[in-house]
Amino acid sequence: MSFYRERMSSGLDIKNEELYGGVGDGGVVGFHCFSCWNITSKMSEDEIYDDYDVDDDSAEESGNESADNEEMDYEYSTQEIDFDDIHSSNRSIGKLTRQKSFEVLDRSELVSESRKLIKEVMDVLSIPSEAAVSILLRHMKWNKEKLIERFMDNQDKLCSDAGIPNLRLDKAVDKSLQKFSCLICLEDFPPSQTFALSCDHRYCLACWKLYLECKIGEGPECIYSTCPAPKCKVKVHEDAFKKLIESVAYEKYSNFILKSYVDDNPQVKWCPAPGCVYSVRCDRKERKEAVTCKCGFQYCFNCNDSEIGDHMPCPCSQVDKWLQKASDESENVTWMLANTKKCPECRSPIEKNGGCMHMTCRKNAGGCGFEFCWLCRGPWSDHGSATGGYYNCNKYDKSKAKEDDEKANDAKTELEAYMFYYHRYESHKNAMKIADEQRRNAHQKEQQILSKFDVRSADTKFLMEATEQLLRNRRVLQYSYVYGYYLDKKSNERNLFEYLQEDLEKHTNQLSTYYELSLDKLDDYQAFIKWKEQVTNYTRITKKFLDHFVEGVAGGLTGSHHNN
Amino acid sequence: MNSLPKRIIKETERLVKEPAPGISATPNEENLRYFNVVITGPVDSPFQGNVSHHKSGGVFNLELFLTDDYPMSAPKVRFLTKIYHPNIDKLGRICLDILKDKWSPALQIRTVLLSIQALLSAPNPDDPLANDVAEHWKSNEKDAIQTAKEWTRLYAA
Ligand SMILES: [Zn+2]
Ligand SMILES: [Zn+2]
Ligand SMILES: [Zn+2]
Ligand SMILES: [Zn+2]
Ligand SMILES: [Zn+2]
Ligand SMILES: [Zn+2]
Repeated sequence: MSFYRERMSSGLDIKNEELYGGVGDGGVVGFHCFSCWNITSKMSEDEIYDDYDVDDDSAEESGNESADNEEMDYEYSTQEIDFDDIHSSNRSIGKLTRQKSFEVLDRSELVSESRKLIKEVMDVLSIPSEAAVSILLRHMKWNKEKLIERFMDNQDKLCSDAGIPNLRLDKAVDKSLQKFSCLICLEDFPPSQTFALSCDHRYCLACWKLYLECKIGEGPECIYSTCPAPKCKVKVHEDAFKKLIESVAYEKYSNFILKSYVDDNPQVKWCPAPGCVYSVRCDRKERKEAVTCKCGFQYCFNCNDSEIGDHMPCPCSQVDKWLQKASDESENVTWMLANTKKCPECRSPIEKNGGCMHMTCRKNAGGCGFEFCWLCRGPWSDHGSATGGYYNCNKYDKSKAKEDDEKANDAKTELEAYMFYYHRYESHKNAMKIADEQRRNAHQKEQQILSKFDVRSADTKFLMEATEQLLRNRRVLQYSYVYGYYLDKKSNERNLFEYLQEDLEKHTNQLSTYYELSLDKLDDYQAFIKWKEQVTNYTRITKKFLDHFVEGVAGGLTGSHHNN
Repeated sequence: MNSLPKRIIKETERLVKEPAPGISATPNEENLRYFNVVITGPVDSPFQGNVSHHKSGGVFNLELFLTDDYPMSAPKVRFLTKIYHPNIDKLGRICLDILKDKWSPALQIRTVLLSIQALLSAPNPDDPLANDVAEHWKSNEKDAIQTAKEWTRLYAA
């Protein structure tokens, strides 16, 4: 565990030298604000370590190593990166991320919410009929204020526009009638077996039932069904539905009413996860942080799309632009994706079926044994912490970009750059899908562990935590390449961004590698414990890096949190 | 769907017994939901045909089919005879609200056919199905009516 701390602190040092170009006299500890990357606060060594400590255990184990890290004590040059334009919105993202301003609603909560709204209107307007108010509210797209205003303004017009010219919604049957001939089925009935809305267009109960169930079969619009008489505009109300159709069909109808309540309400949206029944209320329109549904799905409330999900750190508009671009470039993308499925050395086909980016061209499948990085296709020996970590997978070749500066507008260069980012975007997206599958299979792996190593079930919890962390990291990494693509190629912000991204990416890849280790390779309990610790620690480390990445980007984009 | 609903039987009986003027509807013997329909072009319309030959007035053949959902969904009606009309396209499909969203199960075959007959008297180029014909109708009504008469003479004799 001490190993990680060393790696991280030295990683920071290298980077900070590169970025700020200055090494201080060591007397004062300076630390950059992760939000805006200005050096703002002075932090003691301990505080820095607090930030990076993996857990209490590891703090103990590695406590004696703080002396090795004296090079942390830099005072950075006063150079400030000009983020004025970025800071102008002055929003405190640091605070917002911690503020929960959304609410997950299940079906019964939706029902009671909509009922509450109906009751309120009934009270204000002194309308005794719930069914009538329900029609009025649906007519006004569930906008209570507007409804009350219109009703006060011109009650008769509103009611007839809404399809209830008479607040007495049903027309009682004339008892003196002997028999009644239904104009739909052309058969005769006793008056007791008929029904009419206020318009007195009377039909037999069987025809009404058939008619309304037919409407429900046509879909959500059934909640605006009118009386079956030709050109009659009187709406069929909720109680009529309830009285005239089977309960199964009525259930469907009530769901359509709830659907309209959600669909017409800009503050409430259905969770986009496939098959999810929850909806989410979010009062803040431009919410940037993801919401988390009770089903576990995390996503952007504005985009509300199961494929897009949570697109931190990109703003919605950028995702939009990116997806448009991806569809415009789909031919090139297809070609590229086919091409990356070959070994860079011997061109043998490569199959990627894990989330880990460390690829081996399999000798036993006729390959050459070359080990390479899926992202940059460079030799794996150049990667990872074991070799002292030259890691450049996330950076678009800058030296080459400089050479080609004059050709910067060259379409070919542009496409190449796009492909660079797209490949990485796609790779993390796929790795995330794999992690999602692994989440589903984690239970199986847990069982295998339990039987093989004779441990308590609490000892397998780390697997689930690692899976969740991998999912989150992959998601953010995926969109970080969208963000990176649109980032100004020469800005200082870019350096900082790529630096954070690199850290997150390489540690996430490391976590993947550990995580996907085959259980066969663990010979005994000791080996298992060691593996467990590796996975656990990398889970926590990557969580830290993820937080820093997200905070750093969010702060750099939209404001500072200097007030905390 | 095997047994014919009472409503269809009653409607058919009445259509045969008391046909509406200028309209005849005969059910197909093999499929009682399929009707052969003949509508005579209304007097004073371009679909009237040759007035001097009393019997040879514009005669339009249509087919009408009642789906399993009838009367909850509208009958399917189509002109078989070619006709130059802004609300009827080359395939004989008819743009008429009661055949679409304004259908009511309380309407009947008879009302549908009467509405189609009325459409022949009063073409509505503002709600067209055949755009070129509607364009013609709007830009030069006289000329369009002439073409309609011509088509009636050629195809609906
Ligand atoms: Zn009936
Ligand atoms: Zn009515
Ligand atoms: Zn959900
Ligand atoms: Zn979004
Ligand atoms: Zn190879
Ligand atoms: Zn690489």
